[in-house]
Amino acid sequence: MKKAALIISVIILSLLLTSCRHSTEVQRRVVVHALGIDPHEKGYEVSYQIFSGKAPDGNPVDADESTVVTLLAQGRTLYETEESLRLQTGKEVFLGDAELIVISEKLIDTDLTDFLQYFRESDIYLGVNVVYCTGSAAETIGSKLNQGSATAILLRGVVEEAIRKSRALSARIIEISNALEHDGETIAAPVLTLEKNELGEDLTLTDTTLGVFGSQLISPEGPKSKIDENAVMGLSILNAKAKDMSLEVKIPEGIASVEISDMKIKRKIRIRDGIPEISVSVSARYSAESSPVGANEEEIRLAAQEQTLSLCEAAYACRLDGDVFQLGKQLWKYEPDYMMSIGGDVGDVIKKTTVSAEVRFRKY
Amino acid sequence: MPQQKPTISSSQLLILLLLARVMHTMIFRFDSFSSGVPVMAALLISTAVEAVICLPAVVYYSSGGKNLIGELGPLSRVAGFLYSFYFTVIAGGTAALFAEFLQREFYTSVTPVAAIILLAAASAYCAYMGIEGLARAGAVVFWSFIGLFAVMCIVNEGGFNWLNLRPLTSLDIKSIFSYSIESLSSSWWIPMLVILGEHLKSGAFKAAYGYLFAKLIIIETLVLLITIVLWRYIGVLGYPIYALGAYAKSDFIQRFDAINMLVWAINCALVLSLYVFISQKPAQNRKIGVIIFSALFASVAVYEFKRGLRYNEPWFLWFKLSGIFLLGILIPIAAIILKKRKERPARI
Repeated sequence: MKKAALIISVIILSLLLTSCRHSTEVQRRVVVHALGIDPHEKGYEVSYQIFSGKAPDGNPVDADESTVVTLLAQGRTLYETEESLRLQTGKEVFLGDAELIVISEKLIDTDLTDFLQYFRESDIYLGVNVVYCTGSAAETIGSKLNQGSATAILLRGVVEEAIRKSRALSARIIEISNALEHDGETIAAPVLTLEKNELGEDLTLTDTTLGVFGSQLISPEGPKSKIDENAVMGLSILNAKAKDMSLEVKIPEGIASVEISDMKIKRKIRIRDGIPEISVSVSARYSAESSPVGANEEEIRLAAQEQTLSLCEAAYACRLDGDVFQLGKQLWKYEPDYMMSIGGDVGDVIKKTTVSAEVRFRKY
Repeated sequence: MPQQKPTISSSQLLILLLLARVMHTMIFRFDSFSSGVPVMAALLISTAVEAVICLPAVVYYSSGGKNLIGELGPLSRVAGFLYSFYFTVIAGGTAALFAEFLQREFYTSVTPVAAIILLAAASAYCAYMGIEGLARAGAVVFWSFIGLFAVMCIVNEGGFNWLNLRPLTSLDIKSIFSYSIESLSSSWWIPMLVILGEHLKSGAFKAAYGYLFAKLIIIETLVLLITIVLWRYIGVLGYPIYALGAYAKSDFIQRFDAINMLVWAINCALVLSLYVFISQKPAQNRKIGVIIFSALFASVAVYEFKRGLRYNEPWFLWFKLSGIFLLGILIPIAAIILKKRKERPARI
């Protein structure tokens, strides 16, 4: 009797505890790998890049056929587009595997925090990068590149490589939320650019490349300037986030390619005459990957140092668009009395803040 | 032959107390931002206070006391029921918060009331198995938790922003005070020590202060990670340990949610069993005792859950604090005084 009761309870519990009643088989799910958001007359048009087990003709995929399919769904809100995709495919939408979120620049005036609300409430991983793109997000997500289809992994790789090389700053959901909604900081969201080169009609090669060549500054008040990659590299340095960089350095003999690595950045802040002064010291290793004939090492090193300083200068101009240096956080940490004296708001102070930088490279 | 009272070692008791504290932290929801250096300072203060207020119970058991409640003589039965009442409410609150967590995070696949009933059934069975079984199971759960916690910290994808560690200012005094009180109200491990101490072979001092040290390390590490990794996003994510899992990713485990949940569910059942075990003490028959008190805490949990009452709300703070004051400090002091009186040699 005891054994029978035990067996029955084990069966009942195992069914209840595994939530079998509401489970969704994997073939009944649409697993989204990347999202592209475009404006639409209804509201939004979202491109969902999904993995498809079948080729567009309905047959199982061969090894040489693409398994990446982009589906479009429209709606007044992002919730509606998701629902539309569900109805379109007859499957449950799963966003937990999304690698990247791409927003069209045409939506630059839409408050980014409106999207954050949706990202939070869906299953999207909070470490996913959010990027803007020039032109249409659908085109970016579904483009055919020289390096193959713009799969989510490839798109993410492009963004991560730009971040690794300090040409972009990461803009993960969590970072955007903390900066815009809580800390009043200005973020630099990477902008993906799809470049189509003009080729003759007789060429079958698709000469389309994708890269991050600039970033969009966004403050809690809304979008600000668009900055080029030099300014972003400078921001990476001034925010002590740069680790590696690739520079094209001008010297009298021509142009040398220099790789900067192992960057160690120290920031100090102090108040002088009632105005914050940030001093940044950068030390790193450099190696000249290619240099013109007749160029000497010292000349390249000095030019690379000079160029790095000019990157910081380019970034310094960004302060007019808000707290791009985490000034508020630096002041709270190192000059709390000053921060309290200005009521915790660095809105006006940031414009007067001075930055001095010192760069020292040594040979790799 | 008289039956020997089941006993546990000081490290087993330490682990059981830690699991109860970890459970409380797991289901504690950060609705608004409460992290950073003020919380870390508050934890230090409350731990220092706990180190002092646990002294009566520690002194009693360290000086050879074996049955603290029994020292109260005719009042011991009343005191026993006070502990039962207190831990039934604590267990109910824990189960209600766990159900709320399930509803928030898994609302499509979980019926919270069914989860409470299942937890109550599991707790009744585990509590019936006795303190030795709970202590052995506790060791497995504890090391699983520590392993998971360490892995989540190591593979956490977030960068560390040390600027979030702001120095304390005069503006923080008020919040440090309120966080200290809040943290202190979670120290019902002292009344637990009062009841479970009678099962200790020896080493009440080691169990109590080992617990305080380990708790301080675990919770401070958690708060530090929240501060430098998640920062104010914790207010959005809510549950700190779950949030840490949500930001952890590795090549071999993409998402930690499931493994995290497994440890949570087992820990919840174990900690509730511990509360039921304490609550059923005054009952003559353990089998009936565990059934009655499991049913009672399940009813409290369902009531609290349905009515939206949560034990981390201000009204409950005073209940928890009064319980700690009465059951964790006053009763042990009374027991020590009565024990001393009994030990005093008779004079003509």
